[in-house]
Amino acid sequence: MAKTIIPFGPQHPVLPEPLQLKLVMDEDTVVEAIPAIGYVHRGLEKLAELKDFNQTVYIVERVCGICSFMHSMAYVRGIEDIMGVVIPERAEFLRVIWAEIARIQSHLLYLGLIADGFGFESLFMETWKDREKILDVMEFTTGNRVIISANKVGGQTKDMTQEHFTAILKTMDEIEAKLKEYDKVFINNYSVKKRTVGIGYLSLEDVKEYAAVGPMARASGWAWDLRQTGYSAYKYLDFEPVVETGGDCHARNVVRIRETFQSIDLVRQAISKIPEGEIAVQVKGTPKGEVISRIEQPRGEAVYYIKGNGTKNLDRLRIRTPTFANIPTILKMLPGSQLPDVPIITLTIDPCISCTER
Amino acid sequence: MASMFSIISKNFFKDPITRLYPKVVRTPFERTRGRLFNKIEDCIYCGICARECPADALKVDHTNTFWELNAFRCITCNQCVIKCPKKCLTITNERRSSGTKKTIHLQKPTTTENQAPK
Repeated sequence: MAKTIIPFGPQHPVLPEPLQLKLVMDEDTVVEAIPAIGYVHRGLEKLAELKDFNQTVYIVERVCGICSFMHSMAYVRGIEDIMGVVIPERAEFLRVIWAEIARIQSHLLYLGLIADGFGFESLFMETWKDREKILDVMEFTTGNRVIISANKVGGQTKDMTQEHFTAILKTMDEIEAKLKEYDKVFINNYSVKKRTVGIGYLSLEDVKEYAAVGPMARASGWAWDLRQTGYSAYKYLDFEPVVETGGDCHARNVVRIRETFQSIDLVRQAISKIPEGEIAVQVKGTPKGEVISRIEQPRGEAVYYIKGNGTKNLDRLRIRTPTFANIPTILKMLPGSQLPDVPIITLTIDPCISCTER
Repeated sequence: MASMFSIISKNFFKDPITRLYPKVVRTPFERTRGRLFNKIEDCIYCGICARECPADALKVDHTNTFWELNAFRCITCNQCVIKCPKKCLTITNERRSSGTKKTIHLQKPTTTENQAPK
């Protein structure tokens, strides 16, 4: 019998960014999924070779519209490593504070999208309403909502005063109170559990075989969080990786909700431990050499390869983003599932396709 | 069932969450990056800002004393403000108001359109 092919097209109301999956169907069950990416390719890695290495910070920030701060943090840490620059401690703490606030914002966005994925629009509005408070804090402290341009080679461009810290802590309290009200909906609600428990199962062996990263791996029992290696100011903070063993969409939601609470706690710890001092050092010269810089983004581990040849233009910049590593897991989870579950399974990896194709 | 009624009655008497624009206007924060402004009397047309701009939004000509900003390309990254030797560039926290034609913002010292916001 001839099989039907349904295009889960590049434009879909559920997807935040365009990704095409051609679903080969057998009546109501998916047999195979054939992906096609390339709808948002902008050639940013090539553009980084034509610009000054200081101007490339602004290019790298614009790779993604959600995890933008962590991209520039990874790039700047790589260049500082090549040139042997040691930045002041206060700058490391400021980076961690802004990075964790960006992580909270990204996870709240994910929770809204997954709620919209199974049609629960009012929960989507609730989570994004709280996300607006985080974006207001970002605008109050840096000037912009998501793409904040706070990193530069050698430290930070802006400092925060006690007034800013008080505003951040007040927002953290408000977010924590609101999150405690509606995380029960994601975890205990009967209809939500019908749509997420048992859907999109990924076992621990699959995680190791497909090299999944981030909350995808941690929800199947693989206890690996790159922040445990203690880069930047994380060595002064006290936390454990958040691990669940369910392996399905429900477990991934729980991991991300618990990570949001953990990030709120990390912001409070960092603000209480931040030392006084300078926020940047003068940097002279041009980078020569190669380095690999890794960082834990909200979606997983991102790897930056930077090669400089002694001039002010870089030789090569290569970015491996976490969604690029997680897309093969969709191709493992989709066969055997029903057609209405396809949007939930695709959204559960938290796809950021504009990161995947720079 | 009872929790549903308490939620409904609580929401019935609450103020709307959204801002009642245009009665209530959102005031920008102090650090908001709105638009670039140049105090043209102090400018020496050296061209450093045009060289540093990552988005190629500035055009400066020393011989003809010409300074032009393409406001559609500007990403308000603050690089030109940091590198300007005369410190005549600032980023204000008011965003540009909407216009009726797609023109490039030309900075001339005599027109009132380009007066510095306070």
